[in-house]
Amino acid sequence: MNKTEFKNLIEIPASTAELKRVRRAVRQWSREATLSAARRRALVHAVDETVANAIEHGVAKNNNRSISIAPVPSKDALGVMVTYEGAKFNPLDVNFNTREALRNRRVHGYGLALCRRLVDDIRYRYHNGTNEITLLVSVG
Amino acid sequence: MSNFSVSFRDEDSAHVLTLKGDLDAHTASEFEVALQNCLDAGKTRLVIDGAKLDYVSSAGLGVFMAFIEPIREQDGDLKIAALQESVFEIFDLLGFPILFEFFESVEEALSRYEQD
Repeated sequence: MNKTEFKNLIEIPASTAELKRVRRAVRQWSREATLSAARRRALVHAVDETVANAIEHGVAKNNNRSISIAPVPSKDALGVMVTYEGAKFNPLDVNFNTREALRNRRVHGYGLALCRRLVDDIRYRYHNGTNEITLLVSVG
Repeated sequence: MSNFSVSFRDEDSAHVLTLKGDLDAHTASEFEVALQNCLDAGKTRLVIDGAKLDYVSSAGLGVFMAFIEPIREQDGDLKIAALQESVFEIFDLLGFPILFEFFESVEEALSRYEQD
């Protein structure tokens, strides 16, 4: 990610204490993009889940790595790109069966299932040791 | 500072846990501690008052899931009441109503315990 390209980008340390700040930023971007309240909530949730996942599983530990979150607006949609260095993790590759998870009383893994249900599109790229996940919600 | 809190009160039929604020990956451990304390104290007929719960993420849902069986194994239950619509939507999206009982009000949830 070329950070200079993205207006309103925020960078956070890999700490769950920052999640509230992330949600606040995404709400603001969503209001500016005139998303409906429901779509705003959907995007906030999806970004929160993605960043939480990056913090807990993705960001290379002991290196004080940060996570970048940036709005990617377009005419018909608002995207939010989450970028972090670490091992490759493509959320689109994960096969999570929600019914089975409920049956087995699984405690983890629901975040990805939520993301898929909430947003209109998820795009992934792994480049130079960096994961880029973009979550998109249509404006209309 | 966390904007999430859990408070407790005893009613005749059950123990009510009132959740306030945002239940996310940062605050889920507080909820976990609260539920564990209930279990340890033998309080297993539980009602979650979610009227002031503004947000729940998968981390929070995971805590509900982690405790439902231990609580039911002790002949208790974890009923969920008074959720804001936007919060209930998240539980519903993942199918949690299959496993948990949801009520419009704490009073209804408490009444269900009285009927059981």
